[in-house]
Amino acid sequence: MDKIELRNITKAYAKNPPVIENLNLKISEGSSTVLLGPSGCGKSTILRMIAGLEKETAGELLIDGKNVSGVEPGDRHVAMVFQNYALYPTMNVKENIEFGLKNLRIPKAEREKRIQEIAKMVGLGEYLSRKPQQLSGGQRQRVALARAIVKKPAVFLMDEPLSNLDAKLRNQIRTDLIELYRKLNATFVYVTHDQVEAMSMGTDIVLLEKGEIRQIGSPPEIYGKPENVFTARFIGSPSMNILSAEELKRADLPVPPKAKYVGFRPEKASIGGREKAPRENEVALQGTILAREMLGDQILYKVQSPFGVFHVKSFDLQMLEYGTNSVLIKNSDLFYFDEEENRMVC
Amino acid sequence: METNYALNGRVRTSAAVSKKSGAGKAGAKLLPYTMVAPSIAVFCVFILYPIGYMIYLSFFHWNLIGPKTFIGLENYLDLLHDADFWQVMGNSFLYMFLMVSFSLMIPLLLAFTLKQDTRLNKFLQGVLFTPYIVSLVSISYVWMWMMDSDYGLINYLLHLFGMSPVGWLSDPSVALPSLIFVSVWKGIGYNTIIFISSMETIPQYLYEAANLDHAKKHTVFFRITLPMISPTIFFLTLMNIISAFKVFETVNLMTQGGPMNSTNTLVYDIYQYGFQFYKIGYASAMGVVLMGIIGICTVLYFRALSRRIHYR
Amino acid sequence: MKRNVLRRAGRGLAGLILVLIFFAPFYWMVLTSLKTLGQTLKMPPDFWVSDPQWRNFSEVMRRIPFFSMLKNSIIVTIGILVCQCLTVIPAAYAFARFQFRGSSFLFGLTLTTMMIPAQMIFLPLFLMFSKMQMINTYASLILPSASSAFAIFMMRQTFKQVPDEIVEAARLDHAGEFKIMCRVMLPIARPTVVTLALITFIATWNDYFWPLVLTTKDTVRTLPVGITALHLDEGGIDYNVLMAGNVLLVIPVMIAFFFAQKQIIKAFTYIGDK
Repeated sequence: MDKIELRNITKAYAKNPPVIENLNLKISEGSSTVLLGPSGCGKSTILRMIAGLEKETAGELLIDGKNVSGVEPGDRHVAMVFQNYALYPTMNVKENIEFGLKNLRIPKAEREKRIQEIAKMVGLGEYLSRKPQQLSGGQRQRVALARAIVKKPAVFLMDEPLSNLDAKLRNQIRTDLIELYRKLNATFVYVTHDQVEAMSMGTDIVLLEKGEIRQIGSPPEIYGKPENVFTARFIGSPSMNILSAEELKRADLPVPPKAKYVGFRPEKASIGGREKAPRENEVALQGTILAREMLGDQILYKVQSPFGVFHVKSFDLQMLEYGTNSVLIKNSDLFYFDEEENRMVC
Repeated sequence: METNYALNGRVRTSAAVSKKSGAGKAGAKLLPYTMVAPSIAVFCVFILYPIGYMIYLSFFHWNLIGPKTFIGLENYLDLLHDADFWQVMGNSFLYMFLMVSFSLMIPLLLAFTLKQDTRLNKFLQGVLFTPYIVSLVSISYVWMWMMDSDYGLINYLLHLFGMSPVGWLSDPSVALPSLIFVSVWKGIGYNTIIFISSMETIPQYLYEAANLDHAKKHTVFFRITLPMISPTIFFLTLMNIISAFKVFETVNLMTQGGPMNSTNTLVYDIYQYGFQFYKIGYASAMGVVLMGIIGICTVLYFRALSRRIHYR
Repeated sequence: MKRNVLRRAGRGLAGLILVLIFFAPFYWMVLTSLKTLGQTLKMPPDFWVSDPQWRNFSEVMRRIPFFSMLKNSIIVTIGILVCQCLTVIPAAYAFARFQFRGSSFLFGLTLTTMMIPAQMIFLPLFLMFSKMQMINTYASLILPSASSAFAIFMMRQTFKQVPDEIVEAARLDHAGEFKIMCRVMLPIARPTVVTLALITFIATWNDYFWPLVLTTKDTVRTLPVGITALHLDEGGIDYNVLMAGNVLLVIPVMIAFFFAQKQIIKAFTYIGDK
């Protein structure tokens, strides 16, 4: 069942050209849908429209099959976690969590029970009487989560909730969020520009660019079957190598005639190792190593070839010398894209 | 659905809520107007209306008791030919010019020397600031007492150094500067502290860079500090000009405009014509002149502001 | 080394002179208030009194209706503070949070009134009040200051600094506009409210001009006007009594300044920073 549905949604600010035009999107109940894209792609706007904080210029927004245009944010049964946490600075942790419940006139006994439950769940028990300024970034994030969870909403909206945290804490809270998602059994809509976060958090990923959906799919689909150059480049770190098909054709490599770009993932190529000629199902590219980066469990090479510069990720920790090397890629790991940058299925 | 999504407790209907906060609803559209209405009403009734009334009255002859008679621009023409009025204008502009100059220059130097955040400097800032929060009534009387020509402290100190007594408030050539001194004295702390807080916003790296470039102390002051705080200088200039033109308390309490009209300034003159001679139209015409002066200064200030004298 | 010592001594001396210039008048005020009339006319003057004349203070209370004027001062000050709270906070909130038709015009109008001093419009205002038979009422002293453009400006600035997300979080927490203003925004703006209250208190307490031009009877006159009666009513000036009156006038403000010096200085510098 679709929990949230956007039908032909258009959003424009004042008299400016629309940031989102005729967008259609279905978010199914119980999913963890990640809206992913570079800044300015409209992902936050979509989230804020679902929350009711922004009004759609045209189109219909449905929650549980009902049009919610004109329904106040507080009445949409959604909770939101903000990037900067947006905790009420003058209230202590408990009051922060309680504020929404009080406004809903939930009896005191019930409020107390819920707060104790939540505090235990997110590990805030001993901080209930502290003010937000006295908490660390991670703790504030937890208060923000608790404030959302305590209302028992049907939908959790998360606007880049981890981007204000340092890298270590981000990984930790990311894991906590996944656990939470499984426990709560609610619908998550999660906005991020970080593809790693998207891959790990999402059951569905909606990849956006300039207010348009580029691809929707599960993390493996988005990674393994990119439908266009944008998706291919956006997902994966480092991103997919995209080379000009023309150059490859000139070098007599087998490329479908209509292809304009050829792509392969850095981790699917192997460098060095065998000096022999490529096997039948492989292509070989010659290139010089421009830079090597030792990343601990892998080595990243930046390679200059006649077809352009590309990256190769090697799990062989024996570092190669600078100089000319051959790079081998299986034919099945090559992606071809046509003139419109869409993938060609061969 | 296993989880209980329904919100417990009484849920207000969306309609009831949107009346309070909803965007686009008729009630909500009126909300901001109701919120600003009381303040705007106060401004209209007690500031804007009186201005209009003052302009209106300036075209009339009226002594409060008899009827108002319309006389057109006669009040203004009378002003032009009134030697006393020109003396008052002269006093006011001299007062303004001297007070503003000293009220900016002295605090600027004080601020530059007192800006380091030491305990002594903080204490001195507090000392300088004290007169600013004290009633002008008390300040006028204290200085009147100290400037007394026979029993005043100042003349006694002059006597100690072998100088002859000065009629601080009784000598026509000294009285106005004496009043200016009191105003400057009262405002020094305020101006100094505003300058200091403005200087504190200058990024430290500018000074560090100047240091590396072997800049001398006065070069740093004129090439970095001064241009960086120029918006504050302009702001304080305007504020001091306005406060100079509205001077009243010291004149009324210390000299009553004398001796020989030498300390009579615009506001005091308006007060006299309005409340002592009951020449309402004439006093109103002077009020309009005062409004013109303040208006011109304010416009000039915003002109200068928009021409970007600031570097931030 | 020697230069350093000289420099420090110079700094110390300059500091001492500053303190003298700015504190001596207050010392002289207090000292005079404790002298007899004869002592004030003595040359050379005494710089210390051995038998303080406390009766100068009771003399102040004999010559002017001191307590009734003190009451008037308190009523007017509190009246203005309460009125400003009620008018300024909603106006500032509306200017900070809503885009409504005419908002920039109304805000511009508000800022313009900041440039108009009382000294410019006192005469028409007096005539207006006298036409309405309101001279010598508390209302005539309170109403012209019932709102403050400056306070609106400051409060708006403070409200604007609150991140939008906090307001949005409150909306998602089912809070109406009134609740957002009172429970979320106002507590955040508390330091500014305190600051403005201090400024308004000092300005109103010290104000001499409005009560002078808008009242004709002692029944509603406030202390600053009352003190001047000590000067004007008698033929010669008894400086010891006049200074005693001044001491009484200055004390409340001085106490406030002593306990909240940092805050008061910061309050006034706020103005210049914007």
